[in-house]
Amino acid sequence: METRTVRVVVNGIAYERQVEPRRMLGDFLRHDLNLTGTHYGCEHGVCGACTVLLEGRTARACLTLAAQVDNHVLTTVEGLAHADGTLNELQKAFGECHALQCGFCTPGMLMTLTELLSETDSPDEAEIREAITGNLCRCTGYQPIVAAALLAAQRIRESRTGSPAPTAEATE
Amino acid sequence: MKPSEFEYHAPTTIEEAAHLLGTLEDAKLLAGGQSLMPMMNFRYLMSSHLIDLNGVDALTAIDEKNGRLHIGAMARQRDIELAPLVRQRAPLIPEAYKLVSHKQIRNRGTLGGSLCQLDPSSEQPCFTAALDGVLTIARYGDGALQLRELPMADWALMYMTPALEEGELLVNVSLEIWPQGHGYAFEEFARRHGDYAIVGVAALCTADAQDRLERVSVTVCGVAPGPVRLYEVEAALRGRPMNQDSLRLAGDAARELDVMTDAHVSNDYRQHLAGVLTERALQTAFSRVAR
Amino acid sequence: MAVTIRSSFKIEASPADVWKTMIDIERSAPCFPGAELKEKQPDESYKGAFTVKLGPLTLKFAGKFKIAQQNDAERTVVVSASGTDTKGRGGADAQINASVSEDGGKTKVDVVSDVNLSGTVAQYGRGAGMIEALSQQLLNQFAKNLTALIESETQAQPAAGTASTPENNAATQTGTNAAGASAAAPAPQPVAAKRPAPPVAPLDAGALMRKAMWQSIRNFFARLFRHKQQN
Repeated sequence: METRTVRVVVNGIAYERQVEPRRMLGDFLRHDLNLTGTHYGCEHGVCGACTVLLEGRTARACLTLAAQVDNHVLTTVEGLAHADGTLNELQKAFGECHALQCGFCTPGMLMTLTELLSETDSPDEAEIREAITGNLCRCTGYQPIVAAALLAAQRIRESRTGSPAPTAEATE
Repeated sequence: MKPSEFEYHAPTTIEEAAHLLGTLEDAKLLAGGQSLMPMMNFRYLMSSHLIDLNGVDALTAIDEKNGRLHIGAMARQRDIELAPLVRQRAPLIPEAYKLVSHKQIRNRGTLGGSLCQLDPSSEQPCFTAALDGVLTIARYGDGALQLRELPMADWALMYMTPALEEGELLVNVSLEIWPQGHGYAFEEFARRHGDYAIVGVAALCTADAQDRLERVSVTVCGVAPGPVRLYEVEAALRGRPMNQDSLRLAGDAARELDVMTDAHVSNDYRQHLAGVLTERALQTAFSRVAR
Repeated sequence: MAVTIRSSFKIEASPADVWKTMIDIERSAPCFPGAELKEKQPDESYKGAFTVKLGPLTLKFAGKFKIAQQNDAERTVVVSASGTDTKGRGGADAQINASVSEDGGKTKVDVVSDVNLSGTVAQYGRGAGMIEALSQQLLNQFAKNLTALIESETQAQPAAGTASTPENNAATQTGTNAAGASAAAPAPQPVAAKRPAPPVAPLDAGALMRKAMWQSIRNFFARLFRHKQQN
C-alpha cells in the first residue's frame, strides 16, 4: 500500500511522517505522534471526544484523514497548557469546578470551548450550552462544565482589562 | 472501525477532479467527510479510490452573480453561515444552519456534500429548494470540462440518490435572491438539538402595502426523498391576508402529503408535524417582513 | 428488518406469453436489473448474484433462488431467494409471490414480496420506504425488459428454436459480468428482422429513474392538493 507524506505542525512542533491513505487523524495523533490526549469515543463523529483544532477551527479527528492535514496546523489538548506546564485558565477552571470526572470527554470539551472563547470573550450560558452540544459527557451532567467555561471567560476578561497579569497565554 | 484500504488522490483543480472521477473505477469523492467517513469507518461503504476535493479552492467561492447567490460545492457550511453576503441576501440560510448538526460538523461539512448525500431529513436540500436552487454539474469529456445545469426540483431521483450520472460532480449551487426585507423562517422538529429534522419547513414570503401575501415559498423536508415545495399552496396564498384561514389552508395541504414512515415516527405523526410546522413557519416568516 | 412490499406492473402481451417467459428462469432472470444468473443446482435452485445501488452504497448479494411453488393453471408462482452481501454488510431473504392475470387485453402482474434484511444493511437503511421505492423501480424496469424480451420472441420466426438472440441481449442487461450469463449461449442464429434494443443495464437504481418518474411523484402531490383546495 502506497504511503503518503504528511508534514504537519501540531502544538507548534513540526512533524513529518509516512501514512497509509486510510490512516485517520486520531490514530495518527495517538499512535504516530504519541499524543494520546485526543480520545476516540464513537469513531463516527457524534460524541466529540476526538475534537481537535484544525487551523483554529474544531474538527473531528475520527472523520479526518491524516493525509488531509498535510501542510496544516493543528492544536490538540496537549497544546493548551503553558510552555512551563502550568494549566491555562480554562483548564484551571475545569479543575476547580469539577468539570471532569473520568476525563474521557474532557480533551474534546476543552478544544470546543477554546474555539468558543476565541470567538467571543463573554459567552452566556446559552451560548456555552449551544457550543458543547457536539460533545457528550456521561459523568458530570454538563453543569460544572458550563460553570467552568463561565469562570474561565470571566477570568480571561479580567486579565485583559488592566491587570498586570500577562495576557498572551489567555486563550491558548 | 477503520476504513478499508483505498488509494488517495488530491486534485487541485476542478478539471483534475472531474478527470479522475471519470477515469478511476470505483471512486468516491471526499468533500467534508462528515457523512462519508462514518460510513467508511463502519465499512458500510468501501471504495477503491477517494478523490479529496478539499484542495480544490475554485469550488469554495461564495458570491453574487447576475442577481443570484452562487455557492461553490466545497464551501464550508460554517463559512456560508457566517458570510455577510449570505446574511444579507438569503437570511433563511443562517437561520437554517442554526439547526444543522454542531459547529464541529459545520466547520468541515460542505453544502455540496449535503446536497449529494441527500438525506431526506437534511435542512440544506430544503433551503436550496426553497430558494429555487440551480445546480451546476461537471464532468470531464472530449478533453475538457463539460458543465450542465439542473433545477433543484429535478435533483432528487430517489432516496439518497441525486441526479448525478457516473463521472459527474456537483460544482456549484446558485440561489434566488429575494427582495430586501422579505420574511423568512425555518421551523423544525427534532428530538435533540442538532439532530436531522424529523420534519422541517422553510418558508419565505413578501407582502404588499395592504399586508397581504404576495410571493410565498414553502418547502417541507423529512417527508419524502427530496424536499417538497408546496407549489399549489404558494399559489393559493397569493393575495390573501395572513389569518387563520390562510394558515389552515397551508397546514391542511401539508397534512395531506404522502409521507414516509420509518423507525422514528409514524406517517400520522409526520403529517401532523408537517401541518403544524408549515403554519408556524408561515407565521414567523410573515412577522419578519419589513414594514 | 422485515417488510412486505406490494406492487404490480403491466405488460403489453398476453398472459400466456408473459407466464411462459416469466417462469423460464434462464430467460426472465436476466431481465431483472442487476441480476446475474449462475449455475443451476441439482435441486432446481439457481446460484446467482444481485447488485443494487442504494444511495451512496453499492450492495452485491450473492446467494440462490428457486421456484418454491408454481401453479400453471392459475398462473401464480412463489419464488424464494436469499443472499448475503459479498462485503459482509448483511443479508436479504425474500419470498416473492407473483400472479399473472389478464387486464383489458394486456397482462397485469401482481407481486407481493416479503423481504427480510439482516445485518448492517438493515440497521443503516432508511427503513421500509426506501426499500419499497427501490423495489417498485426495479420491478418497473423488470417489466420493461420482460416486455422487450417477449416482443422479440413473438416476432421471432418459429424456426429460431433456442431463441438465443434474446438470451444474448438479455445477458447484456446484467452489466457486471455479462459473461456469466451468456457464456453458455450458442452462437446467435439469424432470427427476426426486428431485434429489441438492448435494454439499459441498470445496476444503478438512480439511473433507472428519469425525469418522468419524479414528475409523476410531483403530479401525485399536486392531485392531493386539488382534493383539499379550500376557499
